[in-house]
Amino acid sequence: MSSILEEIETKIEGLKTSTTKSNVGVVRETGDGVARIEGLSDVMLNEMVEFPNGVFGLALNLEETEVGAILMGDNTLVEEGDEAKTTGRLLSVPVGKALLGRVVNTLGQPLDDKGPIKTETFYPLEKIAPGVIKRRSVNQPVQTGIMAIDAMIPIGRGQRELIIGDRATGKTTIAIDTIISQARLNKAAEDAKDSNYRPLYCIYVAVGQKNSNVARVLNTLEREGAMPYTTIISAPASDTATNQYLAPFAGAAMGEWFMDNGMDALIIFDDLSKHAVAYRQVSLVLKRPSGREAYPGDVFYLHSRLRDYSNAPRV
Amino acid sequence: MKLNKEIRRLSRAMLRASFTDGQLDRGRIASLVDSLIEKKPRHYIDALKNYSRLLRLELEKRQARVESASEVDSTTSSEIVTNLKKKYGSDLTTEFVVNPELLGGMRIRVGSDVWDGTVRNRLERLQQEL
Repeated sequence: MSSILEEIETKIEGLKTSTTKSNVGVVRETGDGVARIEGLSDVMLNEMVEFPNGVFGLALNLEETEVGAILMGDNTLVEEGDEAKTTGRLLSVPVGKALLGRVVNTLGQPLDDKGPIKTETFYPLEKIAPGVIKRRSVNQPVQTGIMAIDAMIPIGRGQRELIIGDRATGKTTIAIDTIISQARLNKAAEDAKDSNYRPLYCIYVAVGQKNSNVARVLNTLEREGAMPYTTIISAPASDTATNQYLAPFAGAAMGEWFMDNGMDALIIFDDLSKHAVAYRQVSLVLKRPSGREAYPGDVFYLHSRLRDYSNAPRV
Repeated sequence: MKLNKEIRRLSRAMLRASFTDGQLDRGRIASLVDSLIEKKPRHYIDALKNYSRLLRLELEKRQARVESASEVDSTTSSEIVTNLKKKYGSDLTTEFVVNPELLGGMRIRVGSDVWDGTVRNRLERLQQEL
């Protein structure tokens, strides 16, 4: 009991640095997961903005007198006239090996009933990708386990591969088969105590999928024993457009941690056309100019930026 | 409200024209508004609305609002005023407000900058920490 009291007292001590300077603005308009804020003269692009009731936003549009921010969390708690504060932080997600075997949402919060995720490292969603000099050329294959692919169009660690095709032709299946194949190879190397084999961890990002599809993928992976090497990031169709838009970046951040720690990871973004639709929704509500089929002009930049992480030194 | 370029350009030009020697000029503002209403160019009502918004933001930048839990004595208040003027320029106007909800301490807002040293703010931060 006394330790709790001590803890509280030290926290109170820490708060004595009395006056805080902050930059604030007033919410002028909110709706559809977006808030327009007047003021906030010092806000930076992609900075987190704090609203009352613990809701956070991300400043995406910086205009002359207004700031457009997308809201994360319960956006019905934000009302016109609320005060918004800058935080000076970038949106970050938990990363690390603790995420393996888990199903998480865009912000890295667990969706399965396996308790909280214990990790101390956080990575920002967007980072500048390593330069060309730092990258190594592809020198090790990724065995997808599908003979036709491995024989005719092999893929390597450190490369990106686009899977295109009509609907219901098995794009997701190829991805899931690859994950299962990696799990088997990782397991075989572990059992043989082969220290030369670099295990390939998998991150599956489901954007705009039906919840039932994500559950089915999870079931398959669990049945095949692939989950200990896999993280699933789920931003289903019922999730907000904001979360769907950010989910692949969260996945990339989690993959980057493996890269930075000398491990290999395979990220699967399933699927990017739904991601583009989510981004279109966000952009249109933010009143950004639109182009063909009402997609914003930077939708291609969005995807190239996303996959730029993935061919850094090793995938 | 989505403003088109024309409105934005017009209202910004009006704002630029309403200063004399870096100060907002009441007479110039009135004459600008009157002449616009007389000429009635396209979208003049929207332009006027946007102009008044820009003016309001400009005024807020030059006004400090000092909120405190109890009445501030005159020496402290004059000290605050001189310090703020040193930081934000001599044309700053200061407004003192008593707000018992702050519980203690003081909160100063100039434009979108806020210095918060109130007990309420500290309690809120404590709540977040725990």
